[in-house]
Amino acid sequence: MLGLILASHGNLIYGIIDTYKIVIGNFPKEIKVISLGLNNDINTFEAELVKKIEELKDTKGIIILTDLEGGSPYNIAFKHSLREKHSTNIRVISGLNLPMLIEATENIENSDFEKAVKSTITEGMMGIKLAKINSMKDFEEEEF
Amino acid sequence: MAISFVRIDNRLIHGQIVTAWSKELKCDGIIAIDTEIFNDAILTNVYKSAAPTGVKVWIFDVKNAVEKLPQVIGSNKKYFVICKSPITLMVIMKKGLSLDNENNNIINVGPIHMKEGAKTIGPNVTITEDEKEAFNFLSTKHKIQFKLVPTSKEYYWDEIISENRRY
Repeated sequence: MLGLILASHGNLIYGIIDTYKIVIGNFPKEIKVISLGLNNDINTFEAELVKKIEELKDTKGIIILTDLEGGSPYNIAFKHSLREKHSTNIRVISGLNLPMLIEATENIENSDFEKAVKSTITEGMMGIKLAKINSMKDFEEEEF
Repeated sequence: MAISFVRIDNRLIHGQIVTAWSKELKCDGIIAIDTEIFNDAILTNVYKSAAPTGVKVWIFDVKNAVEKLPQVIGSNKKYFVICKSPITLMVIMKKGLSLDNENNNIINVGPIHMKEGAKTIGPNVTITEDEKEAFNFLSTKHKIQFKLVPTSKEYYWDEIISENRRY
């Protein structure tokens, strides 16, 4: 079992969970979410994030998906991923999108932490594409 | 036996969802059966482009499917058979074609969207009376499994029938 935390400014994480439920169905309750709202105290956010990391300390590793590289949720998560006092591995990924979330969620039962981190990033990046039809070659009828 | 997975999904081919199933069950290609899409060149292109990279897609109408499925079944490669409605599968089975597959002969069901006159039987699944009859027919030969993605919790048609007397 891997740990997964979603951290964003504002309602992005709640919106993406709502969308996830339409596309995939049930949202796993093991996944932690934390939002930094406009009027929230950043120290409270940090304390809550630390608490969530502690709750996941018995997992084989924690992936934290954040909205924006260099933003506060990202920076605070990154800082804690570098702290040695945490007993489990933490990897922070920026640029949260739906393909990334789907892939990360599929992998939480996975035991291979590094592989899960890699595929989460890959799917997130692969999800950004110009819409186009496949080349005509792919459309030729073939023998089965 | 070259059908590795049979699926009913209102969205037909849905990007990452198909990818998720193709990690569980071997998929060299997808046979999508839908007469509306078959008759529309633009829609055909859109759906052919929705499959994971490297997975070929054939769009058939029912007539084509009846002609060509025996070739698919005889192939050394592995195919997913996907359509939007249980009625399509019922029609194909009534024409004498086998939907036996390497996924324990299960017919898997994803989302069936809300429409007028339909009743919700589970999360993301609403069916009409006609679809109910089709599921009853399909369930005489196949286990009907409702499961959106490989990691989600599943339930079965016989459970719905026994728990809900309306059906």
